[in-house]
Amino acid sequence: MSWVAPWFLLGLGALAIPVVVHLLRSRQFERADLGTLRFLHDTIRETARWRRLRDLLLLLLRLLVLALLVALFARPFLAANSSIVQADAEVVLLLDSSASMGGRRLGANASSIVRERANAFLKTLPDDARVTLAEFGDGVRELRKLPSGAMPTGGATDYERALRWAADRLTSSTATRREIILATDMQRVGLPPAPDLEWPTWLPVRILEAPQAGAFNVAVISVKCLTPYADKDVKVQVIVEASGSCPMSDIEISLTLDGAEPIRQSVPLIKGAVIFTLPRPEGHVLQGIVRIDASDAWPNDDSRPFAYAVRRPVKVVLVNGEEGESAVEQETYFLETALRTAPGQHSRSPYNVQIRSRPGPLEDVSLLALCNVRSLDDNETRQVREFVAKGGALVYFLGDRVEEWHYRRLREAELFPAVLKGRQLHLPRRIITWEKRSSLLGVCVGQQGESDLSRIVFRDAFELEPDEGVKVLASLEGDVPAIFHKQYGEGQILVVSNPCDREWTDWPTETVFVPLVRELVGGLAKTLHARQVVVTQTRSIHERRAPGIYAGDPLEVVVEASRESRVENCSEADFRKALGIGSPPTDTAEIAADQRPAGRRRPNELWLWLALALLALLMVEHSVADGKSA
Amino acid sequence: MAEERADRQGARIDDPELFLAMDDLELVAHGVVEGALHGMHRSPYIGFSVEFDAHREYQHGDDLRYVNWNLWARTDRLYIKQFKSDTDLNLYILLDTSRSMLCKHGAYPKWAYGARAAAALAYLALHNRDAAGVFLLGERIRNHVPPRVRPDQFHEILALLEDADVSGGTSLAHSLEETIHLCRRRGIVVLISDLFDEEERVLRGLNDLRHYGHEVVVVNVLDAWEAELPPHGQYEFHDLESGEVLQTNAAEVRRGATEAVKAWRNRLRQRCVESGIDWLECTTDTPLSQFLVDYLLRRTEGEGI
Repeated sequence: MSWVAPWFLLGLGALAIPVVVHLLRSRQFERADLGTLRFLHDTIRETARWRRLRDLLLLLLRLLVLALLVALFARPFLAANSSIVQADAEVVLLLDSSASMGGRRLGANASSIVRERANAFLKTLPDDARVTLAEFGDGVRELRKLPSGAMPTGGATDYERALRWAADRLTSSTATRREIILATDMQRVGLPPAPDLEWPTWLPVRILEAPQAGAFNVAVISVKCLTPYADKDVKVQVIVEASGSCPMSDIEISLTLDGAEPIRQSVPLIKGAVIFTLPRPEGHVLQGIVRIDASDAWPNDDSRPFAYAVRRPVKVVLVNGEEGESAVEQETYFLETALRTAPGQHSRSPYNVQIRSRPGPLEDVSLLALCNVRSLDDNETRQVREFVAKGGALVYFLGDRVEEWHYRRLREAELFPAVLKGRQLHLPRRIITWEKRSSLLGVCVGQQGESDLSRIVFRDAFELEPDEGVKVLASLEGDVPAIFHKQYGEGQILVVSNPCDREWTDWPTETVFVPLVRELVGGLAKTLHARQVVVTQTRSIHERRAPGIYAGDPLEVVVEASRESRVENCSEADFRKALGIGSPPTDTAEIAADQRPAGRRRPNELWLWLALALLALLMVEHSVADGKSA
Repeated sequence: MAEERADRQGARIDDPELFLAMDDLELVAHGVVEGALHGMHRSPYIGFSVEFDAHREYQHGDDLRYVNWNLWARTDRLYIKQFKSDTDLNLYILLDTSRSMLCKHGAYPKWAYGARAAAALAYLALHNRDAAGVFLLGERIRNHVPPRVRPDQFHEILALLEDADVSGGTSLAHSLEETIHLCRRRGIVVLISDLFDEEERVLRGLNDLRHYGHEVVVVNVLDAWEAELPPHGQYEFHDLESGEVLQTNAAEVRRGATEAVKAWRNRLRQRCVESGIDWLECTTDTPLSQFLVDYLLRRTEGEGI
């Protein structure tokens, strides 16, 4: 804590007055005769301890009131670093420790060189100058002292955040000379598209420039598994990028899996991306490292570790209840299409979809969908019951072939959790309520676009009465359940009261259809929300581990921030212009008298709190003193 | 009639408080009694006896029930029928003369206040042709004038009061035991004291008086500071009887001491009432006439003085 007017603290000497008065108080007693003292004795005996305590409390309260009054006049405020005494100059030295500062030149990296320059500058400051040291990258971390050896580097660069942090520290300073020293390589990629800061004119920024380590850099900026669900081979995409004036046209990329020989591919730098086809790993995790030999000044980004979970596709059986004349007229057509869809050219669907006319054998099947299926016989019912009890997922899409009596056997087996009451025809209805917090409808969180279920209109609908314990996930107008869910044994049962084709509705043509179906099936077949076995961390100011794979559960992969590999620097003028930080300071920079903060009210002054505390103390003192005189 | 009374009061020089300021106990007694009686709507002099004695001219405050309306019809003047006293009422006034009665934080010490009250009561009784006597109590009975109805009885009582030696401690219980032997004829016993003695023993003595057939009235007189300490100030309090000294801040003990005195008085009053003993309490700030009016009103609700 610092003081705006510390000379007022001399008033604390006045604290002695009440104590001296208390000690030296001459006790003048006036004689008074009474017929008896028995009542006084009784009273004094009863209240002696409390009166002593109250006297002490009153003395303390009054001392505290006096101290607070003095403090109020001295105007305390919270300085950015209260442990540093007030000085005439205060500087904040910001050392760039982003990944680009790890570039090597003539055996030394840029961070070491810039540290030496910073050290030399600090020696030019007055002895009583306050110096705050901090390293910055994507964040800022205060340092107790200037590192003596090589400073660890890594992570992205955010100049604006670092400058804002330093400016905040200096705003509360009372020093007449304040300055920010920015030791950096002025990497262009760390600059904002447009300056977001309105830089204070009284706060100059001095830049200690790190030398350019090299003219170009080639880096592995991405290694991505395109087929997290694969039966046989796995495709891994590697992207390399060149920045600066690179003399090479091609580069050889080497991918090494754990315990295997490296696989090499050469790729033109102008293309940058290559796909490796690798054998499916024995376990669930594909891990290794990608290397290039770029012979540039930034060796840290010439390799990149990777690890990905690779699972077998989930087996899904769709039972077609009504054979159509064409593929589009099949009950399962739209459902199959939605599940087979894969997002990219090389990616694959996580589902191994099989179309059947009857359920058939269910070994290794995760999900069984009955699409407008009329009924199951006893054997099938028993088989499905075992399948669900052991953890399988059973989904019904009802349709025009389904009658109430068809599902009696399934109801007796507790596999159909609702009473079918019949169909309501030609009554256009919409889904008006749905469980936005359900994991099965996680995609339908909004009221617009793809996430809006209310866009779907149903021309026909089944009237159903779900059993007790069934969770209704979506309802049509008139409170008619449209989608409901039940837990059975270790498995799950989901009923969609409409067919999965365009017979009763056009929902397969709605944009919400594919994400909704994939969400429902993914949730039931546990392909979504699966336990994470690999976590990838990007290096930052708070993640200082070297790039690599770290064992654990989940497995951790630490990689370098990709954009740091773009090592183009800019001139100081461009740098200042991009950040809006004005001109460099002169060595005799002094703040104009009218701009000095001393005397002006500071935002972090504590006088209001002191005044409130003083008021409260006075009230307490009055209350205690009043109790004394009563 | 009310206006006439107001005019007369305004013209009077025998104001009770004026007499209190004088040390002549006779004047005090006369002034207090007459002043107090003038303030009452009914004269307590009437109704003590049943045998007609004589007529006298109506005085302000006389009870209209005793006006001889036949005589008024014949003479156009108001006369009051007077009755011969058929009571042989004895009034025993017991006055505490211990040192504690010297406490004075007002115009008069408790002793002086009690003496004036005793004189006024004696005057009142003798005026009514009842026998009145005074006993001065200390550690034992120091002096006394037995109840009589002689013409110079009042002056004997006054002489006793004026010559009283107020000193020493109190042993009210012991004094009350002695009083029993001296108060052989039944009557009214009025004890004027601060009662700073052992409660149980004092109450036992008063109960003994009740058992001997006396009506007992306790007048508890306290000094203003004894009832309530001053709000501020550092005091060295001296116990007048034991000589004990206590230094304290009045503000700190005022509330507790006042509550303790009130509790003590309430406890004594409760015990007295339970034993059929009348209880009156006052401080030396209470106007004596007011005290006398309270006493007389209390008495006229019963019998005699």
